[in-house]
Amino acid sequence: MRVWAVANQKGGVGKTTTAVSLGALLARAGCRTLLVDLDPHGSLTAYFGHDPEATGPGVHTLFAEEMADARAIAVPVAPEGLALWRASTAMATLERRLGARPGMGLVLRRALAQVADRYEYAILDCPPMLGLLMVNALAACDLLLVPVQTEHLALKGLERMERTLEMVARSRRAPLDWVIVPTLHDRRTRAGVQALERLRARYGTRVWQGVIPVDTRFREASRAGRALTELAPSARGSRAYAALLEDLLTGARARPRPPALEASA
Amino acid sequence: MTRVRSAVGMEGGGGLAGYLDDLLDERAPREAMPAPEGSGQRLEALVVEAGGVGFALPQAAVEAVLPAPTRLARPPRGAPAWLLGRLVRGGARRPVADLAAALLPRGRAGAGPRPWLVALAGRWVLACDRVGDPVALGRSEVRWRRPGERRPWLAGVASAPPALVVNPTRLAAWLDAAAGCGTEDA
Ligand SMILES: Nc1ncnc2c1ncn2[C@@H]1O[C@H](COP(=O)(O)OP(=O)(O)OP(=O)(O)O)[C@@H](O)[C@H]1O
Ligand SMILES: [Mg+2]
Repeated sequence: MRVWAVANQKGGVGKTTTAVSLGALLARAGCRTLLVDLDPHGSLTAYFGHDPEATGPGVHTLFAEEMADARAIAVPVAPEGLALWRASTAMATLERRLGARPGMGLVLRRALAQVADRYEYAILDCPPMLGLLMVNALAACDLLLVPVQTEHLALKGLERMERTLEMVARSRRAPLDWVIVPTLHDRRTRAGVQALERLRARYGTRVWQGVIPVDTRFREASRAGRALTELAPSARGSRAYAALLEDLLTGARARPRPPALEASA
Repeated sequence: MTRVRSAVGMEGGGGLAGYLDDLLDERAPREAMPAPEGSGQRLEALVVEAGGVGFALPQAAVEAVLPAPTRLARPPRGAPAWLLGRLVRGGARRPVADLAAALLPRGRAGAGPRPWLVALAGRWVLACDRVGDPVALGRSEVRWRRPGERRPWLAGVASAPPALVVNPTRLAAWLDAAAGCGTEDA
């Protein structure tokens, strides 16, 4: 099983949308895929019509129960082949209840190991803050996707994320591979174009070669409780995520730095 | 709920590295969550009855309540009498314990059949006589108890409604130990 985490300490940058889209595309491609909602707000859980206020089994169970059986907590969601570990609002107090107890950052990694034979992919949707849940995701993943909205202050938040990643890589004693996914990109605005240029200039091959454009149909899909790639596979946003997935699967995710940028830097 | 950028006591300089090192410490024992603290808190619990005794199970640990099927997969040979068998649920074979027979003193449990099953999050399924509505137990209405050697699963005693408050993590560990190793999935 390959584990991809989607995280950025900045909110509203398209993390949940990225998790839903890649999950649905992978399932469509015939890969059994597990989506894991690590955000106490439960946006991913609510996306698929489940209530984060409910107390059914889910991610919280893994932290609350020493003997939790990770094989018993998934619920199926659409399309076929996709499963979800739900979030609950009770997760909001995990940090306070469990504080920094030694080893608590490895709960998710161990739980995923229990289901490694059931799924080809697991995609972890993180909350927009550094804490127990995000650390669990960073400890468990093989690859981290960092959605970054191409706007003015994008780079600032990213520097903080970069420092966090360096420290996690040191603590988990394994390198952490990560790729920046430019999201909510509006190429008609100067700010959007400039932000993307700066992102590529600063982070080079860490940045995925494509972009996820602004597409108002994402909101429509979210209201319908389905991935946009399901609702409208040929929408611009859907095609962009399909291209991202293809690049992630083939390893062709970055393009060489455009020479013009280097010259002007 | 408000969004905070980083969680308690973590960011701001050198503290972060130590925090991460601790969280990602491979050798640390896996601990369960402590009982809720603070006076204003309430414990959402499902009160079930077995052998005439009420047991309060924290709602967060309850996966499902089901009517007992007429037959369960047979328990392994040599298993204790309170191990009623195994229930196939979600593709897994889960051990079913007669709650009263397992936890109450000999002679107190009364005879089955226990018509209800409560599946705990995790492995164990508990058979009982009656399942009540969920209740919110006030913290002050429970006499909390330190984990004892004799009944490690007993977290406290509630007065209204009268019930033994169960620590589900310790109960599962206790059942595992008492059942021996024959309850693993085949
Ligand atoms: N490419 C896009 N085009 C247009 N709208 C988008 C796009 N991506 C996401 N959105 C919308 O932006 C909002 C925020 O997206 P999303 O929930 O995916 O972000 P997030 O990073 O998970 O947020 P949070 O930090 O709150 O968890 C949602 O309403 C979503 O539908
Ligand atoms: Mg989100």
